[in-house]
Amino acid sequence: MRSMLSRAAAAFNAPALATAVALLGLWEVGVRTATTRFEFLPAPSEIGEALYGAIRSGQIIGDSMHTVACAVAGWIVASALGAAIGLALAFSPMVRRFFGTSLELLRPLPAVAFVPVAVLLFGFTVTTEITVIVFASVWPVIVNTVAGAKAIHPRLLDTAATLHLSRMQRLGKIVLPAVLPSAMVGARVALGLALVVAVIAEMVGNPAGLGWGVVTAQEALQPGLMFGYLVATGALGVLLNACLRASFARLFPGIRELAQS
Amino acid sequence: MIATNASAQAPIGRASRQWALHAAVNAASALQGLLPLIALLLLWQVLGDPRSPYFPPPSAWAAALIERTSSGELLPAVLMTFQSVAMALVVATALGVGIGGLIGASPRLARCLGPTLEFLRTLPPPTIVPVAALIVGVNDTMKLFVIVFAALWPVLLNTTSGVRSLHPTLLEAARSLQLGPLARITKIFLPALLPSILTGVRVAAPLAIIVSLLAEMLTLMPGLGALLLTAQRNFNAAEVFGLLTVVGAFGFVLNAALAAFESWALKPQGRS
Repeated sequence: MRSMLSRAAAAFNAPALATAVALLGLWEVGVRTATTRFEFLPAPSEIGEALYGAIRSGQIIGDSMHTVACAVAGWIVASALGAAIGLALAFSPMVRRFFGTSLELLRPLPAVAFVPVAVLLFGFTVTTEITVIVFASVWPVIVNTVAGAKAIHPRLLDTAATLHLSRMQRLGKIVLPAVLPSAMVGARVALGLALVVAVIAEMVGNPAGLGWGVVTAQEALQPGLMFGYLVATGALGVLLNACLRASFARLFPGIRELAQS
Repeated sequence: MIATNASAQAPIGRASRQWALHAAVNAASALQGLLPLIALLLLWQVLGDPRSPYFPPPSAWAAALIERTSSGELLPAVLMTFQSVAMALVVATALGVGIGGLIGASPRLARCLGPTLEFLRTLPPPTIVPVAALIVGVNDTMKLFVIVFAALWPVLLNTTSGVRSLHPTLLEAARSLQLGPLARITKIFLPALLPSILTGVRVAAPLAIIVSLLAEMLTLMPGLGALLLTAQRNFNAAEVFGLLTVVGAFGFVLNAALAAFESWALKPQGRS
């Protein structure tokens, strides 16, 4: 407990706080005094007020819940799928030979462009949103799993052969533990991506959640609320990432690099 | 770190023949890798119902694309999207290298600005689109702004870490050669930072495409995104699928072009 406190004290960064406060103050004063060209630019106080109001009325909480639920659901599917595809690509030359290029061709397809297709197939529904999230966030998991599998030291596999491990045993005792760290780095990237893509899909595909909230606030000409949604989305991303990092560190205490970075 | 041209002096005939062989082998394996995709499309073509409202076969996609091309909408849209992405990448690179270089060079600045920039970076760029549309208005400036906002961070972060990992010998060499500030930047910093900068640009390019498409979809400004959304609203599935392939090809070509540029630019450093 004490070490945590002292670490927090050491991490406290006064100049940065001062800079941020000064910038916010400048913004506030600029909006209040000068007649800017941007008539809809809200002052920071206005944004805070709108955000507070939206939190108290529960509106932004509900929207956040929807977005996070969709992002996490899509992320879980994408992680499982990506790990499976990645392992298959890494360990079966046949799969790699026949599917490698096809996957490479699909990978750069921007997730946004995929939204209209999903809308045509599934309508303006949650299915659309989750499909798009899975499509977008599966790639980092695949890439990192393949990289992790390729980096397995040959001696480990030799050991497995010497010990006459069966296929399943080799997978469970050698391959998965060795691949886990890099696969989880991919999963972390995927979670950030899932949240962003969820917001995108809500803007143009599934009218619900934070993304739709931003668009409706724009159409209702409520700049304060709109910025509030923006801040909430950013904060949510940080929060999700922190949760993920903490739970990974607790679940797999042996993996050092997850605790850092 | 030292520029060498020695490898370029190798016997050219043999090298080019080897290269051709290598390319042929690569092409063959790439084609093999494409087989499942081709098979899927062929099956779709053969078994698909051409009047299906959801899964039109590839020939219908091509027909829809040809119709859009001959009506003179597709090509300007592609050019429009390309223009905004390219311009935003240039601006983002300039800004990212400038700010990233300063932050990497000055620990004090990094400490002051770091958290603010970190917060800005966590804002998902797509969410910026409606915000900018309301405040700046629906115009080219706003589009440029949102794309730059998305593409800036990878370049900035890569430049910062590039500056921090510069070898001290390089800085000492600049000092002992008594280079002026300008010569120091053009002869020492930019060449040494080029790999990190270019990596950042390559990460930024797909982001720029995504945000550009999204901005076009949300505001219906001319471009590929607007075409896609209009096709979806008209329930024209064939056109949606066709445009999806166009967007895919667009991303693929841009990435390939950047990769080629990277290996060309890094060749003098022997790192391509």
